[in-house]
Amino acid sequence: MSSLFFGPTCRNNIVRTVFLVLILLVSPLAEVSAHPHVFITTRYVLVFDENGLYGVRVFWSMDEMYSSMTGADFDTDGDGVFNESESSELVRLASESLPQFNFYTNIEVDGKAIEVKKVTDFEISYESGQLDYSFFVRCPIPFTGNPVDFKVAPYDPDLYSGLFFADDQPVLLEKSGRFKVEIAIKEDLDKTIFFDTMHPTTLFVRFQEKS
Amino acid sequence: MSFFASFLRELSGRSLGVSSLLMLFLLSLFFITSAQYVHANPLTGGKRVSQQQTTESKQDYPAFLSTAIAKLTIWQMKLKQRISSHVRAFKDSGRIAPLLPLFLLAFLYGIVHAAGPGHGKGVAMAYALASERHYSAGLFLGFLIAIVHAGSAIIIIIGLRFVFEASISTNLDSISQATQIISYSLIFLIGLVLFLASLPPWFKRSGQHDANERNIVKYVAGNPISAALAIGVIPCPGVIMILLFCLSLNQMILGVLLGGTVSLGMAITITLAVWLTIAGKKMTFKVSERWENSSRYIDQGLHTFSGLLLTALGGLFLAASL
Repeated sequence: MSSLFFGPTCRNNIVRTVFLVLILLVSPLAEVSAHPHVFITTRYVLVFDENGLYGVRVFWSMDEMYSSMTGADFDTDGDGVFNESESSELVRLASESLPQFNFYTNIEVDGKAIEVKKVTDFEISYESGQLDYSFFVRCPIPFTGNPVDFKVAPYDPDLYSGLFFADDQPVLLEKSGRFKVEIAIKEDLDKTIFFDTMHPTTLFVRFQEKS
Repeated sequence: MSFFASFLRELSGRSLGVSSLLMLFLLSLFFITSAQYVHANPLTGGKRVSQQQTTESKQDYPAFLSTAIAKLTIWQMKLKQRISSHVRAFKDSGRIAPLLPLFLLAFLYGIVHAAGPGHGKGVAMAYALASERHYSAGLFLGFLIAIVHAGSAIIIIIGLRFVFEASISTNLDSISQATQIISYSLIFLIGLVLFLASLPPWFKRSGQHDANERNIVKYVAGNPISAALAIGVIPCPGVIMILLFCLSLNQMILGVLLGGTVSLGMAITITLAVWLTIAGKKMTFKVSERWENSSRYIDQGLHTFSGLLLTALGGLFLAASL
């Protein structure tokens, strides 16, 4: 037995591979129905004021299948477009449950997470088969003389929803005139989600006063 | 969690010792107990017990894992996008040409979709550890689970839409929860029967068997049809999405056919997971043949352990879903 498990043989590698796969399959990863059911394309607008960052405006575009499914369900008059009452009903429902997940908008300043329990200007539209959410997260991060770093990561920790940055213009700036803003979108290697298996793709922002 | 990460790295890059195998089982149980399994869609107001805490990490686990899950996610998204556009093309043009790639895409989607978490692979593997010895039986089990998994989704959606004329979003979560309770209760019972049936041989001499006990195991708990019904009854969310999309375009028959095709793809993945278990089991028996009398105890030990594992899985999932 020891030669099978410890010896430098080809079989050794096969055994290792088999058991590695087994552990992945038998672990809770194998039992949670958490792989994305909804795919959300995300765009951010970083809104500044004279003091620094004022907040983040979030835009989500749902994938076509999910859009159709939800649209068909909430478009009660069946005209293919959400009217105000259809939209506000979905806003009401989403506002009740999304705070539990920080509205999938995970903001971190100096290593400290900011809870997102309330948003404003929450709107949901459905038109031409496309379901879109948008809302504003107020999270003032003042400029205090030194460069300020913060991160915003769009993810659902349970991976029920898969959030991706848009290929086209994923981040825009608003009223950032006073500041020099540097942004980068990449995996956050200091953070793991979903049973320690994934690094979330994150927006890294650094802003400082223009010289 | 970081302990698990270090362990995985060791497993992927260094030697595999007996202590590692023991840790494998202990860690599996640890993670099983630390997870919550209740799901609902927060985008439409569903309440969900979050399973996860984000953790700080210095990448002390295999990087391929992050890459693999991210890739699986992206592939699923792309496949879903292509399926959507082909269904729309078929509806708009009325031509049959988009159908061939459409069914191929649905089949691939089934393979990739089931490769992600869920779909009863873990429970199916625990069950195979307890009951299955032959690859043909594993194939039967894998396909049966996938067919029941997709069939459950099709029946629920068509029932909700056409029989009860009820809202899908509002009712789907509660129906899914009901099926989870049924599924986990059955898994718990099957595990308990297999576990209890595995105990008497420990107290008997080799060769002594109780025919009645064996029949209970063979025809009830050990029957792959019971197992497939128990594991697969939870509706497949991937099939639900495709079917609902087709329904929104008034393409119900196409939706049902695509759902069936997705289930064939899922069957491939689930069967592979079950075969892995059977291969591991066969390998263990082969190794154990080197010692006299050990194979009997290893056989009994596997039965007892897997019965206990199934009972624990069923019980914990059930507790979390109530």
